[in-house]
Order: sequence, then structure tokens, then C-alpha cells
Amino acid sequence: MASPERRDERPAQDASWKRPEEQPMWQHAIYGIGWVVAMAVAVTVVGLALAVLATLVL
Amino acid sequence: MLLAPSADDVRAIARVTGTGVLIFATVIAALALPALLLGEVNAAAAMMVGSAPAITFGVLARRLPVSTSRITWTRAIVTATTTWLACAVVAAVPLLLSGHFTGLDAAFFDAVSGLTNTGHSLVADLDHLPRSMVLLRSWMEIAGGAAFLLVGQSLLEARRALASSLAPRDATSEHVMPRTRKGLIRTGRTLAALGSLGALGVGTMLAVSGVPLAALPVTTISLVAAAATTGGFIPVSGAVGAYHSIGLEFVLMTLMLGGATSIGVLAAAATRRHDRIRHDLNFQMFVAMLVVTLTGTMIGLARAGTFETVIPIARHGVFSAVAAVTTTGLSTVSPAVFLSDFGILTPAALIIAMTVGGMLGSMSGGFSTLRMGLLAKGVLSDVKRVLQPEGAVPTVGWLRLGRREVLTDAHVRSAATTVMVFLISILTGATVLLWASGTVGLRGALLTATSAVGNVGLDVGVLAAGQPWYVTATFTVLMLLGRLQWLGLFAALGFVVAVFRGQ
Repeated sequence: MASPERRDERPAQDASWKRPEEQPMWQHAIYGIGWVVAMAVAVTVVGLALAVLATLVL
Repeated sequence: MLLAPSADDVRAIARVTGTGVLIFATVIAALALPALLLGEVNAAAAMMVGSAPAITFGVLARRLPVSTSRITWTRAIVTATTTWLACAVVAAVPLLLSGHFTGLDAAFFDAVSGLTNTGHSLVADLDHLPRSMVLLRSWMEIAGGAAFLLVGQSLLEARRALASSLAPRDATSEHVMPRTRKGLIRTGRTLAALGSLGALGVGTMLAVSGVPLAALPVTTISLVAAAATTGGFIPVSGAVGAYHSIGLEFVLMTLMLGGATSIGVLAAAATRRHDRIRHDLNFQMFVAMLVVTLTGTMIGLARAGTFETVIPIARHGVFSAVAAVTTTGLSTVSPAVFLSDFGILTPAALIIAMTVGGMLGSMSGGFSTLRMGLLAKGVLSDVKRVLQPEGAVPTVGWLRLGRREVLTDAHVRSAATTVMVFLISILTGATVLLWASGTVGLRGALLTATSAVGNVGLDVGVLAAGQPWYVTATFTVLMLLGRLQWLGLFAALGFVVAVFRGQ
């Protein structure tokens, strides 16, 4: 189990990282939404690649 | 021995249920205003008629004296069930008064469908449903999604006993909601972020695709609520493909993925703790399910020859796969096409995806990717046990947002029980459908039953207005069973039995 210290540990090579309570609310929103959009883009790209592969093979 | 609940227990449950009903009904009453602005006087009257008794009940229930305010497991589980049922009754009244339902059973079915974020509907002539009623349907989805997120954080994830369906191993603990305030804030933020993204994205895409300005607000709210809460009610009959906008489909897909992501993962993403997300079992299994479903769907569509070129295969395949994994139930084609033109493999892949569903702790249905991950870990544990020297006890661990947990038999048993109840429920629903109609094939029956139990709402044309009452009743129960999970529903039934037969 992670200790409270571990919870707020600064990720390696990321000088801009702030503890959650230090981060402004708009940054929370941008990072959260950006992550979801990135996931949708990844799903679309993987889906497109699979569609190309399936069409070529079958 | 069955212990009869005390009068204080009943009062406490009524009080919390009353609070939930009061909030839910107040918003319905407020919807009378847009109804009047839209010139829908009858709908406004229906909203008031439906909400007035509920508000009265809520106000009176909140005045009930409760000697101890602690929230025990029994109280919490039974309250969750009674609140969902009471809100469904409240919403059913204006729906019935709209004149678009054949009876109270059909209106109640739609109310349960909305509040359980399913999306099945028995509404007649959806295209002419008053726009304020469309807003009411969206409110049901938002209220159901928010409530499920709260329940997820307080009951399902309490004390890290999240492996259990409703954490029975923690049942000895008296206090179950230590993080209500934090849960409320996180729920509010999640819904606000998804709502803002949706309003901007969906509104823009709809405007570009030519939706008239007057229809834009209601259509946008309806589509955003349908996708982000994984509810699946859309404002028009047919499918979102009717808007002919790839951009809209992409935005909806983004919202669906957001709605099926656990609130903990979203919080970790908002604070850029990506290493926690990467190793999270819940997230890993979600990604695995997406890849498996995408593969099955693409191969199925290519083999069935439904589309001739790559782009339509990718467009409809990706959307269908995401809608199934996230249990939203939206589609780009008329859902009946799933049975008639999508071959065998694609519907099979979708059925599996709908059964599993999204992440535990999100708004999506299904038995959840985390439980599937725990079952897989259980198999791994058994294999290790066979391979290790006799007497050795294998240790299998798993990570939940950076926290290491050790797999126990209780985890696996609880996950297996939930999966078993899901599968039995699906078979029950399919059997009822096959019994009721001679024209429904096995695929259609399985797809519809899975869609109800998994709170998906992909309607392939099997459920419709005017169906036998016992089909409506069975599927209403199945939707509740899927959302409240077996322990929630059965504990509530047990509570009722204990009132009469307990000692």
C-alpha cells in the first residue's frame, strides 16, 4: 500500500508537477478532458488499423 | 436468524429516500418552466402533477425523527434500492401523462430505464414527444448516473473492499459512507467536466450538421446526457447516424469513454498520475476489452461483407464497439441492422462486451472490467498453486490506482457470484423473450437480454410498446438487477421479508 508520502511524490523528470491541491481547477479539467480525448483518439486509430488489416486479410 | 429492522431503521431509510426524492422531484418541477417557455402547457402540468406529491413526501420524510444518524450497511443498501424505485415512480407519472405510453407499466419501464442508465424505451412516437419530456428523460439519466457514481464511491469502493459486489466482507462495519462529501465533489466535477466538453463539442457538431437553432439546446442536452452518463436515450427515433456527422460521432464516443471510466482514474488523469492509471487492473482490463471487442467487430464486419470499403467498417465498427463496451447502447445504424446485416461474429463480440461493461466505479453497466480482471487473477492464482510445491501458498497481487492489494478467495468468490447472477439473469430474460414471441431468434433474445441486464439499451426491435406485461415486468427487474447488483436488490427484498418475519 502506498504511504501518504508516496502519494505526493513528484514524478521523475517532471519539474512542472504540482500536488493536487496546488493545481488550479482549470488545469484539473484540462488534463482530465485531454486524457479522455486522447483515449478516444487512440481507440479510433486502433480501430482504423484493425479495419484495414481485417479488410486486407479477409 | 432474521432480525426485524427497528422503527428507527425504517425512519432512517424513509428520511434518506425522501431527500433523494425531494431533489429529484424538485428538478422535475423546475422543468415545468422550460415546458411553458416551449409552449408545452400539458407537459408542464404533467411535471407539476408528478412532482408535487413527491416533494410533499420528501419534505415530510425529512422531518422524521431518527435517533441515530449512522449509516449502516443495511440502511445504505436498502436506501439505495428504495430511492431508485421511488424516483422511478415519480418520473413515471409525467411520462404516463404525456400520452406517449400504453400504460403505467410502460411508463415505469422507461423511468427505470432512464434511472438505471439503460436506454431501452417503450415510448410511442418518440419524434413527437414534447421537448420538455425529452429533457425529463435526460434528467433521469443524469440523476441515475450521479447517484450511481455516489453509490460506487461509498458502497462499492468503501474501505478498499471494492472486489466485492457490495463488499459483504465489510458488512460488519457500521459506518459505510466516510467520504460522502468528497464523493459529492468528485461526482460534481466529473459530470461538470464531461457536460462542458459535451455541450461544446456536440453543440458545435450539431450546428455544423444543420440542426435548426431552435432545436439545438434540447438536442444537445439530450445527446450529451445519453453519451456521458452511458444512458443512451436519444431525442429522435433511429440512430445518431441520422445526423450524418463523423465529428458528432467522435465527440459522443469521447463522452461514452469518459462515462465508462472510473471516477478514480479520471481523478488520477486530472492530476497527471499516469503511472497509477497504467498499472490499474480496472483500467488494464478496460483497454483489453476495447481491443478484443474492436478486433471481433472489425473481423466480423469484414467477413459479413456488410460494407465494401475500409472507412465505413472503421466508422460503424469503432462506434458500435465503444457503445457496447461503455454500455451506452447508441448506434450509428438502425439497431435492427445488427441482427440482419452484421453477421454472427460482430453481435457475438458486442454481447460479450455488453456483459462485461465498463470500469467499476464509473457510470457504465455490466459486471465491470475489474471483476473480470479478478477472475483472471483467480485463474492465475490456481495455476500457480498447482505448479508450486505442495503446501506453498501463492500470492497474487493487483494494483488499484497505485495501491497494492493481495488477491484473496473472497475477491474471486464475490466476482464469480456477480458474474454468475449476471449470466443467469441474461438467460432468464432471453427465455422470457423466446416464450413471449415466436418470431424472436436466439441472437435477438440474447442481445436484448444482455442489453437490459448490462444496462446498455441497444434496442434491436424486440422490445416494443404493446408487448405482454410479463415481458415488461421481467425487463424492468433485470434493469434494476443490473444496476443495483444482486446484493442490492436481494438485500432490499430480504429487508421487506424481515419486516414481517424477523424476530
